[in-house]
Amino acid sequence: MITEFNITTYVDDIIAKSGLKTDDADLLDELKAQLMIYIDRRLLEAISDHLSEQNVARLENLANEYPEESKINLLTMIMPEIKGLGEMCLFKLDEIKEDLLYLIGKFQS
Amino acid sequence: MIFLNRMLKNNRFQNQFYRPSRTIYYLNRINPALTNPETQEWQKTVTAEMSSLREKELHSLTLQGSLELRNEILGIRDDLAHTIPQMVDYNINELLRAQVEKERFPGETQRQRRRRLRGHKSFLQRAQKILYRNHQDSLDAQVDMLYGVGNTIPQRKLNLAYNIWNALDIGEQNILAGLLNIRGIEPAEPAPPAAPMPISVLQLANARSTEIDYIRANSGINHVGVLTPVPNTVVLPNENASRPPNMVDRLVHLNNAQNELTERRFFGYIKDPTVMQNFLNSIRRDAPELRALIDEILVQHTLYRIENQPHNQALLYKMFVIFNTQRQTEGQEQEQGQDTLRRWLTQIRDAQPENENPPVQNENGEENSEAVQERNEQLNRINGYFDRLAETKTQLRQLYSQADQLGATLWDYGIERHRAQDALNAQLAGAGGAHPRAQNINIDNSHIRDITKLITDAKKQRNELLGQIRDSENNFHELRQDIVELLRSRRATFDQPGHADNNEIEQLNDLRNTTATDVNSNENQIFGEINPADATAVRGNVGNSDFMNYINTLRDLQIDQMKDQVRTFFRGEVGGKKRMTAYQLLCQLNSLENHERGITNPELNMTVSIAQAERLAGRFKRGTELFHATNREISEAIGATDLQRINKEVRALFKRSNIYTADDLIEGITRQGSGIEKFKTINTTMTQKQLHVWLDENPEIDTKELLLFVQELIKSIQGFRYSGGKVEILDRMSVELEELIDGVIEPVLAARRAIKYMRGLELDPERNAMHQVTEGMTKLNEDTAEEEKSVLETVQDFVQDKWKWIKKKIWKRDMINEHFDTYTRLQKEAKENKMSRGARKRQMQDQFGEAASVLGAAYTAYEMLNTAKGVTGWMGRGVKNVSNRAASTRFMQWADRNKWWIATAPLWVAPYAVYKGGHSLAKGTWWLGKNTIGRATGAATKGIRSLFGKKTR
Repeated sequence: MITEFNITTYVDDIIAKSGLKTDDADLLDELKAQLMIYIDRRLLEAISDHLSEQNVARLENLANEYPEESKINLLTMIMPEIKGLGEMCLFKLDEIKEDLLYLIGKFQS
Repeated sequence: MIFLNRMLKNNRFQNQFYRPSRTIYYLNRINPALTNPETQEWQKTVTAEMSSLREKELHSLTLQGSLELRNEILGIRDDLAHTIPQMVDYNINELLRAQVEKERFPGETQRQRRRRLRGHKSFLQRAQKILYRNHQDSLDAQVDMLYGVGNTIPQRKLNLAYNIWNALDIGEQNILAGLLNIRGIEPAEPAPPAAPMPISVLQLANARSTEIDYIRANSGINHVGVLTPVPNTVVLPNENASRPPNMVDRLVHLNNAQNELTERRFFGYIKDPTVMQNFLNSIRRDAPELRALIDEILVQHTLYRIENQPHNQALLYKMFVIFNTQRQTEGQEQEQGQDTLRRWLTQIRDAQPENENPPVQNENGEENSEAVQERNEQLNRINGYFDRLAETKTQLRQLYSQADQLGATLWDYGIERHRAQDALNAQLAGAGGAHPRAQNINIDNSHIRDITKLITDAKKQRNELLGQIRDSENNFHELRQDIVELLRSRRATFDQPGHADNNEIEQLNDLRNTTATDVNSNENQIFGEINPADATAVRGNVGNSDFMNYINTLRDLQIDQMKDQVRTFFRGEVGGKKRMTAYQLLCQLNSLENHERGITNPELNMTVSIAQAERLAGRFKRGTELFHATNREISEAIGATDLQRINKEVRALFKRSNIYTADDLIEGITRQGSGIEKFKTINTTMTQKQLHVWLDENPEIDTKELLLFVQELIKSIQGFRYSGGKVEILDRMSVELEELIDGVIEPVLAARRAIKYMRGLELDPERNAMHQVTEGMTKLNEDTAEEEKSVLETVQDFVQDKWKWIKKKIWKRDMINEHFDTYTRLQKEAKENKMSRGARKRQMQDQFGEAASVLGAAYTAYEMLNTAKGVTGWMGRGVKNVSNRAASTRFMQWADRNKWWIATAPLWVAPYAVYKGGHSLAKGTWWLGKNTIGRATGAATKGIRSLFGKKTR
C-alpha cells in the first residue's frame, strides 16, 4: 500500500544498495535531501496527468500548508481517494529507484 | 417607424419595469400577505421546529436516526415550498379583485382602466415570481444550514446527493457511511465526543459516484442491516502498526459486526460471479503471500464455475474463514493456513471434472458421454494454452531484458562517439579550422571509425532482436485470443439446452424474475425523490416489460454489441432504477470482457494506464491547461461566428501553403530557414523508442540544440496564431507537439541530462564518492529547477502574448467608450491649432495606434449626428415627449453615454430612412444623402467595417 510508503526508508534503501558509504552525517543528510527533491519531481511529473484539477489544487494547498513536507508524503494524504494512483506511484517509484541506482553505479564505475 | 417605435416602447417599458421604486411599491402591496400575524406565527413555528431538528441531528447517534430526520426535514421543506406560494397567490388574487372593484379614476376611459389593470397584473405576477424565488432560496438555505454546509453546496449537488443516497439500499448506505468516515472527511460541525459520526449531506455530496460503483461492484452486499462504520485504521494484532482498511477488512468487519456471518449469508453476498471474482481479486491484491494460490483458484473459478455449486461454495466459505483467521493471527498460522488452502484447492480441482460437476445431459436427460469428452478436451486445451501463455510471457521478459541491455550499450557507444567527435573537432579547430589535408596534418579518427562499426553491429543485433520480440508478442496475443475464443465457445456450449447445468438455468431465471419484481415493486420508492432534471427521462415511454425483454435479448449478442446496446439504453430512454440496472449490467459486461481477455489481474490494467500516463505526463501540463483555457476565452470573446470565419480563413491559408499536418508545418519551418536542418527527420508521430533510436543514430545532436528546436517549433506555432488567430488545425498541431514534448523529448532530455551530470563529474580518488554524488545531484536539481523556470516563463510569455491579441479584439469594442473623449479633445485641439489633416492623422496614430482608425470613424459619425439637430430632435422626441430643443439635448446626453451605439447608427437608422424615402431603398438613400445623417451613416459604416476587421474602402 502506498499509504504505508516511507520516503526515508526508500531513500535509505537506495543509498544502501548503491554501496555509497560515509561517516559524515551532514553529508548523508544532504544527499538524502537532494535525492528526495529529485524523486519528488520525477514522481509528480509522472502522475500529474492522472490528477484532476481538484486534486492538483488540493495538493497545492497541502504543499502551502506543509512547505517542508515531501510531495510523496503529501500525495499519500489524498491517495486513498484516487483509484489506482497508489499502485501507479509504487510502479513509478520502482522505476525511479532503478534509474538512480543506474546513475550512481555509472558514476562509480 | 414601426420598428423604431416598438424599440422605444420596449425601452420605455423596460425602464419602467426595472425602476426600483415601482417594484418596491408592488412588493409592499403584497407584503402584508406575508406579514400578517397568522403567517408570521406559522413561520416562527416552522423555524423553531427546524432548529430543534438540527439540534436533534447533531446529537443523533445512529445513521438510521439521521436518515429519518432528513426525511422529516425534506417533508417540512416541501410543505413550505408549496404553502407559501399558495398563500401569495391567494393574496395577489385578492389584490387584483380589489383593483377591479375600485372606482375609475377621474377622466379615465374604460380602455385606459383595463390597460392599467393589465399592467398591475403583470407586475403582480412578476412580483409573485420574485417572492417565490426568494422563499425557495431561503428554504434551500435553511436545509443547507441544517446540515451545516452553509450556502456552499448548490441545490443541484444536493439533489444529486439525495438521489445517490436514495438509489442505494440500506446495506450500501452503511458501507458508504463507513467509507466516508474512512476517508476522514470532517463534518462541518464536530459531533459530540464518543458518538459515531452521522453521515451528512456534505459528505454525501462529496462522495464520488465511482465510489458507489466500487461498492456495488466489490461488496455484493445487499440488505445487511445497520452497521457501525468501519474504523479509520486497522491495528494489526502482532505489529505495533496500523493501516487503512481494505476490502477484506471490510468483510471481516462486517463479520464481526454481525457476529453471525453464516455460510448461507456469505454466499448470499457473493452469489454473483462477478462479485465472487472481485472478492478473490481483492484477497489477491491485499495478501501477496496468497497470490499464487488465488491465481489458481481464479483459473478453477473460470473453468468450473464453482460459485454455482453448493459443495464448492462450502469450500470457498471455509477458505474465507481460514483466510480470515489467518489475518487475525497474522502469520502464526500462516503456513498452516496455506497448507489447508492448498488442500481445499486440490479437492476442488480433483473433484471438478469427474465427481462434482453435474453430469452433462442430452435432451432426454441421459448422460451424454460425447459432451463430457468434448468438455474435458476443451479443458485440457485451455490448460495447455495457459501453460504456453506462461512460457511466452517468460520468453518475452527475457527478450525485453536483452533489448534493454542492448539499448544501454548503444547509448554508451553513442556518447563515446559524440565525445570522440568533439575531440576531433577541437583538434581541427586548433588547427585553424581548415581541412586537415590542406594543412598537411595527420588526424587520427580510427577511434571514431571503430566506434561507428560497433554501433552498426549493435544496430543489426537490435533489429534482429526487435524482430524476435515482435514475433513473440504476436504469438502472445494470438494465444490470448485463442483462450478467449475457447472460453467463449465453452460458455456457448453450456448455454445450449441439453448441455446446460440445470442449477445454472434456475439461477438465471431467478435472477431475471427477481430483477423484474424489483423493478415493479420498487419503482415508486426509487422514483420517489428523483432529481427534477431526470423527471423527463423517468417519464419515458419504455415500460417494464419492454425493459425486461430488452435485457433478455442481450444475452444472445456478442459482448461488444451488448455493451453498445446497454450504453444506448443507458443514455436516457428510461430513468432511475432501470438506468441503474443497465449501468450495473454494463459494469458486469466490462468485467466479463476483461476476464475473457485474460485480464484477471487489476495490475495488468494499471500497466496500460501507466504507459498512457508516461506518454502524456510532463511539466508542460500547467502550460497546456493555460493554453486551452485561453482558447476557450478567445472563443467566448470573439464569438462563434467570427471563430468560424477565422477557421475558414486560416484553413485557406494552410491550403495555399500546402500545410496539412504538424509534419508539414515542421518541414515548412525547416525550409523557411530556421537553421536546424538536421531535425527534419524528426516527426510528431515518433514514439519514445523511435526517438531514442533516432538520437542514437544522430549522436552529434546536442541536448541544447534539441531543446532549441522545440522552442522554435513553439514560436512558429505562435507566429501562425498571430497571423491567423485561433483555429482548429493549430489546436491539433499544438496538441501533437505538446505530446511530443511531454511524452518523448522531455523524458529523453531528462535522462540525457542526468547521465551528463553524472558523467561530467570528474572522479577525485581523494574525495569521498558520496560527496561527489551529492554534488552531482545538487547541480542536477538546481539546473533542472532553473530550466523548469525558463520553460514556465516561455509558457507564461506565450500566454501573455496571446492575451494581448485577445485584448486587441475586445479593446476595439470597449475603447470607443473609454477613449472617445480623449480622441475628441485631441481632434478639437488639433483643429484649433490649424494642424494639417495628415499631421492630425499621425498624431492620432501615435496616440492610439491601431485603434485610431476605429476611433476616427466613430468620432466622425458622432460629429455628424451632433450637427444633424433635426435628426437628434426627432430621436429625442421618440424617447421623451418634449420639445425639439430639449429632446435634442437629452438625446445627445444619451448619446454621450452610449457612444458605441452611435458608431453603429446605420443599423437602426437605415430602416427609418427607407420608410422616409417612401418604402424604397433608392428613395431612402436619396433621403439619407439629402439629410446630413447620410454622411454620418457612411462614416459609421467605415467604423463598423474597421471594427470587424474588414478593409475600409
